[in-house]
Amino acid sequence: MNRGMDRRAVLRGGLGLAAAAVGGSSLAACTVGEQTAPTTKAKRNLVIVQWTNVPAVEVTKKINAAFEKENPGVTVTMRHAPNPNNAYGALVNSQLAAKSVDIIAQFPLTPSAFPPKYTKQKPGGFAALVAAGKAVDLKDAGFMKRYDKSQQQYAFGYEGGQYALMAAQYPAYGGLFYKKALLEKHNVALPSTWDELIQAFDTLKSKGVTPVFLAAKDGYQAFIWHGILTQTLMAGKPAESAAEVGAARAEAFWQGTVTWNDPLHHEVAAKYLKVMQYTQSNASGVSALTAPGVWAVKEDDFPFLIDGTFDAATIVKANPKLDLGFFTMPSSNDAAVNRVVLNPDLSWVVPTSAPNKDLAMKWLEFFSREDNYKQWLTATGSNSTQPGVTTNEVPWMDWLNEHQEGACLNIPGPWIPTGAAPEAGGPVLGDMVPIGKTSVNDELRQAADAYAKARKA
Amino acid sequence: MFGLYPSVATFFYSFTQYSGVPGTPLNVCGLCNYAAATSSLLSNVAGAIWTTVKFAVGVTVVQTALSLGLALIFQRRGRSFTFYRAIIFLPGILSVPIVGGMFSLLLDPVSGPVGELFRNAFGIESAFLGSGRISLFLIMGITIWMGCGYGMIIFIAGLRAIPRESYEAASVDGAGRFRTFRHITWPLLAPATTVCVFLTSMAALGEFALVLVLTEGNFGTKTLGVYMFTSAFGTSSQLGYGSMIAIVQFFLTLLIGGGLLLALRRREVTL
Repeated sequence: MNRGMDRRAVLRGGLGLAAAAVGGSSLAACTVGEQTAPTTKAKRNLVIVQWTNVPAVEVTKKINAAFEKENPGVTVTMRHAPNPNNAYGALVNSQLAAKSVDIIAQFPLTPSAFPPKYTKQKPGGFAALVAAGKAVDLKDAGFMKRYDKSQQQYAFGYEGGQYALMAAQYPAYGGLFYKKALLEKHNVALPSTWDELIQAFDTLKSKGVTPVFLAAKDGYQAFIWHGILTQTLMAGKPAESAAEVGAARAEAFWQGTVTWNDPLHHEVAAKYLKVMQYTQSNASGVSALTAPGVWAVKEDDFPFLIDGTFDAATIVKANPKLDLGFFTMPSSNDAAVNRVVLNPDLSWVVPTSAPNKDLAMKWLEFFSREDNYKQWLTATGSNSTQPGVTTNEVPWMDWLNEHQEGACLNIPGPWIPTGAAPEAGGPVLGDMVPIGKTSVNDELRQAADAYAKARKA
Repeated sequence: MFGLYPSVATFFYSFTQYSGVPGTPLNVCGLCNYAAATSSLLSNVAGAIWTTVKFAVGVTVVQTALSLGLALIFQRRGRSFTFYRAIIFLPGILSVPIVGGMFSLLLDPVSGPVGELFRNAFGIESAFLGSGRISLFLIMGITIWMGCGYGMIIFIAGLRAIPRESYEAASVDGAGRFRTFRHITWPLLAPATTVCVFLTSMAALGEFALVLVLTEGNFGTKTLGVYMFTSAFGTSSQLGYGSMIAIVQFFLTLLIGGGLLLALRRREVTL
């Protein structure tokens, strides 16, 4: 028997099957959505890419249609791909390489994306594009005057320039959705201080209710941590100073004068642990994909859900009858400290390689008009980044609308070099109790050591 | 050209701080990524290598054994066996995001049917994919479920290539089922075993897509492939650093794959 021949024959068969499977799965993974307005007389075509978020995509399509109507001879092509597994990143890169995209949706870089000069490191990801001068500076564009300058600078500012229009910001960190009817049933008032929060949790627990629902498989416990941390760091400081507070903190980390093992981080960790006691068992197995829907339909349990307002549309769709509310978790007994923490989100970037830069700027101006922007905010559940525009008519936003004043942006973590251990960016909450097994003291010590090592590397 | 260019480019990028975003500078930095990986950041790379090796060994051993068992059961001709073989092969042609999404839903401890079953039937509560103790084993199990159909086909091809005369001679000599398997089937399946073990181990060493979809590398499941992917792509990632990890992964695969191939070929000659 010719074994060599047999092996080659079997290998050929196996490789053929494997190639077919790989080809099939690659094709499946590369599928992206595309919507082109039908027209035969189009002379100019504006191309926008955005990650797949159904409400956001749908409302942008409506705005595109209105834009086309106002600009005869112009069509808008919108391409989208999901964020998970970098499908959207691949779409953006391919469009940039082909120099065929005019407007790109991006997550904000925040100051932590740019390595401070003293680190002598080069920026990674999209920050490299901005640092290389390949994004259009929107600083002097007329429509930017509608937006809050400090927030815009925080999200996409670099060396005095403004490289994107931050359209969305979500109260995610410290954010809690709640079921109004369930709280009323158990005579629990919405807490406004830390003590009241714990009291409310204890009351609910004593009545056999699990107070908090959490999707820890996707790390949503970080919303608790960052909410408490930002409120603590921003205590007594003006809202617009978040960027400076973050930059000073990053430098202090780099100099070694602030570490993860400081008393402040132990204080934050203690409060984080306290809240985590009230979450459902096996939270680490619950995915963020299913959590909003599961939580919405269980009307008799889980009064609170840790989540950002970007999931409001999903919750409302899952249970339209739910009397929904949203508030930010208070981490202090001083009401002034318990401010809304906003997370910068979807931002529009115009690359310098855009074939229709003038049209892109025109679209951004059109998007920024009050009626269009308001329509977009209502559909996406985002907080307004235009001081003059509010969305008072959205019922679950009642608390937010009353507590917007003093809202501040999240303080980013210190900059860490690529390849650094995850602990360098802060305690890994998935490893720390109660999700993991590492004690708070050990996790904070390991985080401090990991940052020190990363700094030396 | 299509095969060589990405490999050479990956090797080159591993000496840069290139972001991977088109139009940005390459920032050639020599051995900076390798220096970082072998100095203070070593524990990171070493941890990922260890997880990868555990994953590859587990998947290769169990999948090969299971594939062989299934091949022995379902090798016979006939419509019903064709149907069963198709059912077993089916998971292998499903795309990874579909399989990942399906198992995420099944294994959700609150709303998934598996959690419900374990709670009601055995009184066991588990976070499943969110448990540091079992998540790697669950992903190994799903990988095996997807891949054992391929292995079965390879072994069936091998079984059908064994001359019937060998079995007839064994029967005449009074050999029972076990002795026939041990002295006829198993030695003559050596080429199929080599192919199955080699292909399975290579796929397992490079695995990242399923891990990424199911756990994103959390809960003790960060393989070298996941570490490479998350370092190379993302908001503030560095393709240069990711390329360095890809090179490490390449040499690890070369080392293990080459060693395996040598050992399996020697085994074929011995048998």
